[in-house]
Order: sequence, then structure tokens, then C-alpha cells
Amino acid sequence: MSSTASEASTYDLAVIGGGPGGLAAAATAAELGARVVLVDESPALGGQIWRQNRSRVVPAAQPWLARLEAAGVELRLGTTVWQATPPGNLHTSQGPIRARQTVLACGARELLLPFPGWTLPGVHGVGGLQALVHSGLEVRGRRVVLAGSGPLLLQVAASLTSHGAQVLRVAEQAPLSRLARFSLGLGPGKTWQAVTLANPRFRASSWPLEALGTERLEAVRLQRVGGSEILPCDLLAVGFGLTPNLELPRALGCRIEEGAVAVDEHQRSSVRGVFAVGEVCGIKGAPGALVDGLCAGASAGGTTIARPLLRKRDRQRRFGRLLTRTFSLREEIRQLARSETTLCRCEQVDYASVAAHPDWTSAKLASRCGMGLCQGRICGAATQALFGWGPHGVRPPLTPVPVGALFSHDIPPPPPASRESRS
Amino acid sequence: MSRILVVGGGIVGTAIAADQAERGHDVVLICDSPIGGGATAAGMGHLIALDGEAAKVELTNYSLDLWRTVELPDDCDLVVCGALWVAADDREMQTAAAMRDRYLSRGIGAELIPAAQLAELEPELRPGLAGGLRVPTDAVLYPPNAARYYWHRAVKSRARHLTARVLTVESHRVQLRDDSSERWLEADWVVVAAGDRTSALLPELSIRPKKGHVVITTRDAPFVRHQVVELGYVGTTKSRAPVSVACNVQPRRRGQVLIGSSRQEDTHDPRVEPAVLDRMLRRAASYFPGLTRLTALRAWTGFRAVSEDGAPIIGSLRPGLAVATGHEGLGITQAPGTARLLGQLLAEEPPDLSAAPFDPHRFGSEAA
Ligand SMILES: Cc1cc2nc3c(=O)[nH]c(=O)nc-3n(C[C@H](O)[C@H](O)[C@H](O)COP(=O)(O)OP(=O)(O)OC[C@H]3O[C@@H](n4cnc5c(N)ncnc54)[C@H](O)[C@@H]3O)c2cc1C
Ligand SMILES: Cc1cc2nc3c(=O)[nH]c(=O)nc-3n(C[C@H](O)[C@H](O)[C@H](O)COP(=O)(O)OP(=O)(O)OC[C@H]3O[C@@H](n4cnc5c(N)ncnc54)[C@H](O)[C@@H]3O)c2cc1C
Repeated sequence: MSSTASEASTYDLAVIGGGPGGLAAAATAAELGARVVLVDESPALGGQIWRQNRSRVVPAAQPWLARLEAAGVELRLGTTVWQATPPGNLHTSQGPIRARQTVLACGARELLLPFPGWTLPGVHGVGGLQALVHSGLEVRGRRVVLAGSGPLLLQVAASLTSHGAQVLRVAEQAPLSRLARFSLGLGPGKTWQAVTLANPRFRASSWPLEALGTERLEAVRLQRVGGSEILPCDLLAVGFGLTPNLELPRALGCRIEEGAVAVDEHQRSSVRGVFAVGEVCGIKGAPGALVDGLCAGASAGGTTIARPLLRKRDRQRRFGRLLTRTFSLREEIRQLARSETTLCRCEQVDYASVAAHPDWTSAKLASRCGMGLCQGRICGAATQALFGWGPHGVRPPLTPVPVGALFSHDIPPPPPASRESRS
Repeated sequence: MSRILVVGGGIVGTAIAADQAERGHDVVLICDSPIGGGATAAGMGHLIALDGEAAKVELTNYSLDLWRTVELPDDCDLVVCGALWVAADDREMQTAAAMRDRYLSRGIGAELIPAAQLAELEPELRPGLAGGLRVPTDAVLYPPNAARYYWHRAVKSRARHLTARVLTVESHRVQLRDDSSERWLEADWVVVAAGDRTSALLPELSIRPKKGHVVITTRDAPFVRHQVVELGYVGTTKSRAPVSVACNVQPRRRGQVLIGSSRQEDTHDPRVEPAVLDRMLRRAASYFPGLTRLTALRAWTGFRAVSEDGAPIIGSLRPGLAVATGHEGLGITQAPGTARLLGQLLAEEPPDLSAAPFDPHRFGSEAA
């Protein structure tokens, strides 16, 4: 091989994100002959749901990992993309990567909304607690309450139970009427009632009002039909749904619709050469992310998407829309915080100091809300949900990286279409 | 009592609004960004005792005296950390010695720091530097809230605020657009403090934007104590090269480190440019090798407003129309003096300092 260094780092396809969506896209495109690199900031593949570690092997992920390896997908793990320009100029914490096409598979994060006491030790995000358990947190015998909205509550409740936790309550803010309609949409064999009936601790139209405790969590006060209840507990897992990670798509200039990357039937975004799959283009769960990835892999690999796969993908999209409708947040959830409730955790800014401003930019400038370590990922999403403040501009670094990682990213322009040989 | 319309809610416009309102005038401030937005939101907030041309030095020192008289609220994050100008070699050390003499002659404390003492003052500086010059009275603050401080003062004296875009300015009136309706507002004086966008409103004045990048780190163990600037910095402020960079590193009160600085001509593009970050950070790391291990949290850009001769433009353009801009990289420092001077000029009081070097008409035939 006599390729130069810069040619060596030019790929047919760069996939950002190693969750179900990214794995499927990378494997499919590579099997079609594309030279593929898969980048993930985590040191392990699998994304939010399949991430493995020493004590955890995820059977569902195995076939995908095997296919990646067989197809020769290059892995860049522990590598953060902190800026990108179309179609595939990636600035990463480990140096530049250049590709002719990009698949965005960067997933979603939890929507956390402020309520009194939510910053007490012992209060976690639902997904965050799940991840902690996966990486070894011992929950055996601990009393846990899960509260908020979305299917993740029940999934995580089941997982915690299997790890020996004592789940006292699963409080879902959505009303039973909507949940019933949701279960009809799920199709046979997978009804919501089946799931909820299996969990006698489940309550619809119930949500967290206040986490109680002085040094750490001692109890939670929940709204429920006709009143409220106080449950003493050791852990409280809250989550109000997921929200797509839009920093990279927005840096690339992808059109966003209803809070997710807009894609066509080939999973193409509005930017030429940039595809999006999985939760970044709409919350749909891991099976939907896989199907998206298969479609994008085929498109990026230069073939047409098989009809049955298209039909499957359309079903998954309908399911995603049903999810959004079913678990849309009720107005009361936006009224939980008090004036003194922390809204921006990183910079310790309270609700009143933020709510006093007409928009995100002035709130941020004056109160420092959103200026901390999470770069406004949490409070920015919260103020969008609470006050309807538009998404703010994105700037590199999209994720905090070491200062030294910002060096030497003067990416050369794309090579000319026809190359003359020079000596 | 006169009606004053101030166009611009940066540090200069808000300081002018406070001065005018406290003189008893009826002030309306118009801007299309939040108070303290514009270049003010991007600036490093170093209150810097300047060494340079006499007129600018006079405005700076006058302003620094005013900064010392105000009692800034806690959220302005004022810290009198002092500045340390670092000399890389003996030639720069000679520059430092000459600077010290000029500072002392103007009554500003300044001491030469020998190489051996540098490491004591700033342990993260690389070994092998020639020394430095310490100016202990230099301070840093958080500019957006300093602008808000002035704005609160203006409001106390009954100033009002309009969020609107100004389309046209003329003597005694402005045309503005808000909520998609357009209208004219009349006044005794219109004061334009629109920063780098001034030429769009006053085409007869040439104000060029000079783009700058800044990077802020996460909070960590203390890294620097002074505002540390390489002595080559002064050269870059006047440079006409397409891109120039200098090591300019600042400790924030809340434990972050602010890293500058870059200067770029001929661009209005506000995007952060990785290639410029690269050069700027390498330059800073050539003085502070340990910077590379800190975590970069955010980067942003801003535009300094530069006049043809590099000095501010402060004063009346014609009856009923005045201007205050062109402060380049010193607008935070010079805002209080600018506001006071303009107030004296508009009131036809004898000014505390010579206004001629800042006269909007000084470009005369050239500009015409
Ligand atoms: C905290 C959390 C926990 C969850 N737990 C469960 C669960 O237990 N059960 C369940 O069914 N569903 C769970 N979900 C939902 C589940 O994540 C999704 O349904 C599914 O994983 C979506 O797959 P995806 O491929 O779209 O993205 P993800 O699986 O989210 O993968 C995205 C990947 O992109 C990487 N990435 C993002 N940005 C960058 C960047 N700038 N540079 C480099 N890499 C980047 C991330 O590290 C991540 O590995 C959870 C979601 C979250 C947010
Ligand atoms: C990277 C960088 C670092 C700096 N560091 C320092 C430093 O350490 N120390 C220092 O003293 N100075 C520093 N400066 C310089 C300082 O930031 C500026 O000189 C100062 O902020 C200028 O303030 P201003 O009020 O004139 O303009 P701006 O802050 O730019 O405000 C202009 C205002 O006018 C409004 N406006 C403009 N046009 C219109 C219109 N048509 N209609 C309505 N509103 C309009 C804008 O919305 C804005 O509110 C730095 C600048 C930069 C870019």
C-alpha cells in the first residue's frame, strides 16, 4: 500500500455514534464495500442501551459487533467529535477525520425538568440510574421510586427489580386514557396493559411534586389522582422523556423539524451527504434505530432499500409518533419548580433568576445559566420545554474537550475530482 | 430636560444611558440584542492600563479612575488580579523596562519582574522566559453584567428600553422596526453606540470589524493568578496581517481560565474557526504548556470596532446626532470615560480631557 497519510484518513463513510442505529448503518455500508469509520466518544460500543463493560455482555449486540469486524469497519472509540462541516469533515479529540458521507447516529439524552429537591443526592435520571446499575451500582434491597414519563420508566423498573431493588412506585404523568390508546397501537402480543399489569406499582396520572430530605433523598411526594402521597425511599429515578442530541446536526446545518433531524425516505438529511438514524431523527426506541441504520447503510452504500425494510421503517416511524403523542407532557409538569428551585445545576442558578428574562440569550448572559460543564444540554432543554425558548446557537467545541484537542485541525480542502500524478 | 435616544445596549451605550439619565434627561435606549450583548458579551473584560498613544492613554486612565469609584455588584465578578506582561527575550525585556518608566511617569504602579521571580508569580509559565512587567492595579470583570449595572443605574433615573432594530439615524430622529412595524422616534439628541455595526447607520464613518476568538475552560485548580499577556500583544493590536494571535490568559473569579486572543480583518463571519483556534491556542500554550490539559468548555467570537486611525470616535457629528464607538480592544475599559466625556460635550461643559483626538470630524477630507 502506498497511500499517503491524508488519503489514509479519507473514508467513504463516517458514522458518528455506536448505538443500535450507528452499528447497523456501519455494518450495512461496509458489507456493501464502503470504507467505513465508526466514531464514538464512549470507550465501548453499544450506545445507551447496548453499552458493554467488563461485567456486562449484551447478547443483542453480539451479531452487530461480529458483522462490524467481518466487514472491516474501523473503530475510533473514546473519540469525541467536537465540530463538523459537511459532508464529512470531522474535528475530533483524536485528530481530523475526513469522509465523503456521514451518518449521524448520536442518539438522544434524557429530558430533566426542575422540581423542588431534584438536585438532592439520591435523585437520578431514569436512564442515568440504569447506566449506573449496568456499571456496577448495587441496588439490592434499596427502595426505589420511578417517576416522570415514557416507556423507559417501566423498562428500568423491571431491570432494577431484577437486580434486587424494591420498586415502590412507577409514576407516569400520562393519563390512563392515552396509555390505553397507546397499547392498541402496539399490536398484538405486546400490549401496554400486559406490561403495566405486570407491575402492580404502576400509576397513571401521577408525577413527582417534591423530593424530600436534608442531606440526601429521604422521601418523595407524588401527585396522584385525587391527592398526593409521600413515599420514603432511597433512590428516585426521574425522566420526562428523551430529547435528540442536536448539536452535531445543527453544526452541520441539518434542517430540524419538531425537535429532531428531518430525513427523507433514504434517511438523508437536508444536507447533501449527511444521513441521520435512530433517536437523533425522532424518539423511536432501539428496534426503530436498527431499522433506520439498515436503511441509511444501504443508501450510503449505494443500493436501494428493500421494500419490506421500508415498510418496517415506516411502521417504526408511526410507532415513534405514537410515543410522542402518548407521553406528551401535561401543563402541571411545567409548573413544578418554585422560585428558589435550581434550574441550572452546573452554575447553581435558580428558577426565578432565569424566568425573569425574555429569552435564552439574555438569561444566559445575565445569570450564567447554561454556561457550565453540560454546556446548557440540561437547562437548555428544560427552558425550551418550560418557556418555549428557541434552541440556541451551537459553537465548537460541541462537547468539552482538552484544550490540546483543539490543536492542528486545519483540514485540507477536498481532493480534486481528477488527480494528476506528480512526483 | 432633553429627550435622548441611545442606539446600542453594549457597555458603551449603557454607560452613556446612565450618564444622560443621571443628568436628568429623558433617555430611551434602543438595541436589537440583550443588554450587554454585542462585542460586550464577547470581550475578555480586562480593565487594562494602556501603554500607547497619549490621547488613548489619557482616556484609559480617566476611565480607570471612574471604574474605581463605582461599586459593582457581586455578579460583575470584579477581581483586581493585576496584569503580567511577559517578555520572551532580552529585547522584550528592554521594552518592558521602557513601559515601566512610562507607567511610573503617569503615576501607575509597575514593577519589573526578573526571570527568576516569574515562576513564583506564575508557576505554569514555561521556563526560559526573560522576565516581565507587573501592573498590580489592572483588574478583570464580567462585561455583560457590568453593562447591566450601568443599565440599572439608568433605569433608576427613569431610562426606558426598546428592543428594536434601528434602520436609519438622522439628526434628531431615528427610524426603527419592532414587531414588523416601522416608525420614527424624535429626540433632542440621537447617540449612536452601535459598535462594529456603526457604519451601517452612519456610512460617513468608516468602522471596520476586527474579529476575535476566545476560549473558556471548565473550573479547575487555580492555573493563573494575573491577566498574563505576552509583550508582543501590543504589536498584534495594530497588525494588518489577515490573522494575528497573542498569548492572553485570564483567571476568572469562578475558577475558569479565559484564553485569547486573535485578531482578523475583513470578515463579518461570526463562526468559530478551528484553524484560528488552533493558532491562538498554540500560541498561548507556547507560554503555558500546561494549558493543553485543561478542558475547553466553550469558544466564541466577537467583533471589535476599529476606526481609521484606531482611536475611539466620541462626540457630536452634527446638531442632534452624536456617536461613541471605535474602541477596538479597549471598550470595556474606556466605557465610563467615554460616557462622561460625551455627556460633557453634549452639555457644552468644559471637558475633563481633550476631546480633539476623538473628534468624529477628524477624518475630514479623507472620509469625504
Ligand atoms: C441515558 C439513557 C438510557 C437509556 N436506557 C435505555 C434502556 O435501558 N432501555 C431501552 O430500551 N432504551 C434505553 N434508552 C433509549 C435508547 O438509548 C435508545 O432507544 C437507543 O439506544 C437509540 O439508539 P441510537 O443508535 O439512536 O443512539 P444511542 O444508543 O444513544 O447512541 C448514540 C451514541 O453516539 C455517541 N455520540 C453522541 N455524540 C457524539 C459525539 N459528538 N462524538 C462521538 N460520539 C458521540 C454516544 O456516545 C452514543 O454511544 C436510554 C436512553 C438514554 C438517553
Ligand atoms: C475577543 C474580544 C476581547 C476583548 N477584550 C477586551 C478586554 O479585555 N478589555 C476591554 O476593555 N475591551 C475588550 N474588548 C473590546 C470590547 O469588548 C468592546 O470595545 C466593547 O464591548 C464595545 O462596546 P460597545 O457598547 O461599543 O459595542 P457592543 O457591545 O458591540 O454593542 C453594540 C450594541 O449596538 C446594538 N446595535 C448595533 N446596531 C444596531 C441597530 N441597527 N439597531 C439596534 N441596535 C443595534 C447591538 O445590538 C449592541 O447592543 C474585546 C473585544 C473582543 C471582540
